[in-house]
Amino acid sequence: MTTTTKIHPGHTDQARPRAHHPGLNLGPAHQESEDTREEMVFGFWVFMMSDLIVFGLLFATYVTMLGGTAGGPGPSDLFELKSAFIETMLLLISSFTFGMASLALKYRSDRKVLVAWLLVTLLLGLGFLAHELYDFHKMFTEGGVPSRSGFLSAFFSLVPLHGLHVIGACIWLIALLGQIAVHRLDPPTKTGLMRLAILWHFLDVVWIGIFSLVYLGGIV
Amino acid sequence: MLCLLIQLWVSVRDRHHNDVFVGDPWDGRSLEWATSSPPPEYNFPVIPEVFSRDAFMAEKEQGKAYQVPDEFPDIEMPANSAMGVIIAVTGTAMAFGLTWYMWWLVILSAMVTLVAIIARGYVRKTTRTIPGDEVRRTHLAWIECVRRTTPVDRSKEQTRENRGLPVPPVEGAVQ
Repeated sequence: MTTTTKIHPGHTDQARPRAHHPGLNLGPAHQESEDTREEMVFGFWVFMMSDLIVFGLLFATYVTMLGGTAGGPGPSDLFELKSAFIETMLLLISSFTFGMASLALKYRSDRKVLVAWLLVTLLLGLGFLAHELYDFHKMFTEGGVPSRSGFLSAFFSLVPLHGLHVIGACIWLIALLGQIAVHRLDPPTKTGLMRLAILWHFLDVVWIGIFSLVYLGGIV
Repeated sequence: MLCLLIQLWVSVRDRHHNDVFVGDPWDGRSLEWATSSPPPEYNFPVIPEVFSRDAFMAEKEQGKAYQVPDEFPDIEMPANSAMGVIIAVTGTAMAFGLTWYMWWLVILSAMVTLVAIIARGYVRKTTRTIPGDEVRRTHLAWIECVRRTTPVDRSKEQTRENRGLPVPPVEGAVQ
């Protein structure tokens, strides 16, 4: 950073009070991150809401397609509650460990604890993905392919899209671990971690919807 | 496509003939005419304050156009980045691959895009500061050009005498 005075175009009032964004705020100990976090984290919330609309549409499509099995395998033939439950637990625990990472980011100057929690989170995310892929593979062998029926098309639009998000979040997490190694915990890395946290918890929330509506609803 | 090329050719050929550096060849009403043509990348040395619709016309009517601000603060601009070009190339390649079922091209462009996005995350110098002195020099050179330019009235708008400065509204044609 240079020491010259910078006036951002459009920011005439430099002394405006700092607004807090929803979720964990880093607080006054991280003053140097405060300048960027408000806009960046807020922007990410807006993106998250638009993403939620996509999932909302796919949920609605799935529900309307429930009866459209075209004589093929239906929910009770294809879904296993035990498997879905394990995936739910993996993702829920990963959300908890990411929460611990966020707390480590806020309260500890030592990077080791933060990185350790992030690695645990990454492993749980990858475990979830492996389990989900195994599930899909099993569905395929039982004739549950996307082209079989409207119901299966809707299923494979909704659930793997969530999985794709988890893959993206894992890649992002690895990239951020690299940024921590290269740049230490500078403000862009911190705001990056805060935005990834929002995505991670969001994916957890969407999965709760999938578990309740698709798996529990399908088996009951 | 041919017409586009002809337009480009004519524009380049007549660039000196049609030069209107002062920036207001058609006695414009709004702020896009209130800076030089071509404008500096930051458009205005300080953000203009707008009090009415047709702000530039209001300024001209009150004789307040082409002012020199009291001070020239440094201006922060986005730094140059190759991302736009990279995404343009990989995006086009991916769309081409998807259209013609060339899966190797789709995968290749997806991977390049992904690597570029990740690499971009490591860039820390994303802004560049234009010093206030440079802004001042640029602005004063433009103001000097405005002073030296002879205003034209509407009857001469389409001639070569139009260098981008119209006569003030009171003396000019009916607005």
